Amino acid sequence: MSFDPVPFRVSFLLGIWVTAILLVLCFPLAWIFAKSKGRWVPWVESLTTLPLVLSPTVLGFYLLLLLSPRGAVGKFFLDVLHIRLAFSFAGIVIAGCLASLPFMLSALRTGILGVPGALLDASYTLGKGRLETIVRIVIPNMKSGIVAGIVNTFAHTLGEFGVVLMIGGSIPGVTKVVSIAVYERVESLNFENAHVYAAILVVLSYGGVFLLNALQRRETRR
Amino acid sequence: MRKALVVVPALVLCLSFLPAQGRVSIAAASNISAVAPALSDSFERIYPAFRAEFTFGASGALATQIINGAPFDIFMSADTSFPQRLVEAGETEGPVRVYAVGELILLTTQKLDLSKGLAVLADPAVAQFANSNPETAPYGRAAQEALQNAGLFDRVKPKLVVAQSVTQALQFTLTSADAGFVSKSALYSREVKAYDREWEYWFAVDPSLYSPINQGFVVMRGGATGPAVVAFARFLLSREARAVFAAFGYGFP
Repeated sequence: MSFDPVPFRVSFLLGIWVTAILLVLCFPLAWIFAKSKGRWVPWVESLTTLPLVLSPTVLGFYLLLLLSPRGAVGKFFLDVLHIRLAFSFAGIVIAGCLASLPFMLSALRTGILGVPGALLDASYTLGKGRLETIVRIVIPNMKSGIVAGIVNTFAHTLGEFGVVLMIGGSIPGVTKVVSIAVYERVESLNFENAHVYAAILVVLSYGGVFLLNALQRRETRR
Repeated sequence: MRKALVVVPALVLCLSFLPAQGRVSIAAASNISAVAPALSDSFERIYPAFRAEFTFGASGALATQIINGAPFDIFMSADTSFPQRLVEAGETEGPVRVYAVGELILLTTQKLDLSKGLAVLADPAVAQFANSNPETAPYGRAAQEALQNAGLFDRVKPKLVVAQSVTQALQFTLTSADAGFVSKSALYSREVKAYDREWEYWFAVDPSLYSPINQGFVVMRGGATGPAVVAFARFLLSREARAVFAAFGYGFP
């Protein structure tokens, strides 16, 4: 079997979707976690960290039941929105978002906490509203946090395996991501192909981690 | 006291590496998982001193593990080509022997018109159907062959969901897909009992559409001398084992 670049395309698309969705979704969440002193915060925050330590098979098991056309969420999407979640790209995007949630959230939270409170107070004192302060003061001052969140989430999604294996169904061009392609090549004793996929993944992941480290180094030097 | 803290775990660790004389560890194709309890019951009734321990996976996955040093005594594949590769790699003691012939069925949990045969997969009522990866799972290979020979493969391919083993195909069929190709033995598992109504929830795929699923086993070189291993290899070809396989829908060459 010759080299097939399609699984890479699927993985990249998955990475882009998951990263974009999480970036938008996590910002308000991270803001609340960073700023709110509510007693419920630690409870919710622990819940959002759970995918970091939970076995992907547990996540995959619940998602399979939930996203199936016979499950609550899957049935709603199929009947009302006419989108099939089980064994579909939309399904693995949802799974990827859940699995990568802690990576984006913690990076953004750290970023928000890193913005000096004095800057915010100054902005508020000068009569700027919350939204304008966030857009013009907070975001420009937490760029490294945002980049860290993006790189971390994207890299992690690229390596996503367990959940996708359980709910993806390995459909070529749709849900067969590159980590599954490696797994299938190894299982069918096609090591040459597995080597190519694996080597590319190593290089890409190394690049991501290197970028993250460089970013952190710059941060601490400042 | 403190010595015991070191010695006891060390002893346990050492013991766990000793070869267990009375045990035979078997790497078995996933379609065997339904039969395995009955198989080991029968085995242990004949040889009360021995125990059979099963590990399940797609045949290709297990063959890969064995070639890379997984310490199994016997490999029960769902075909003859994966064990043949182990024979050629010099990992086995003796040739591949066929212990049963598998039967492929199409299973559904929905109300489908199964009288159409495989063509039912082209119906709009079937949005997705599951099959196991033909590269690693012999039942998946047989199903793909049947679809190709029936001239349906290209038409139904967009609805195909690929499972990593025939048991995952069963799991997909029971949870989310509208139909799926599984082994006939699956009908005898507890979860599927409710759907064991031929032509309502399943039908046997016409055997002339696919090459016979001859399921072969090999004895691995490392385990060949253990008495339990020898006993199990002999048992697999015995009348008693055949009776168990026959009760689970398997045929014989």
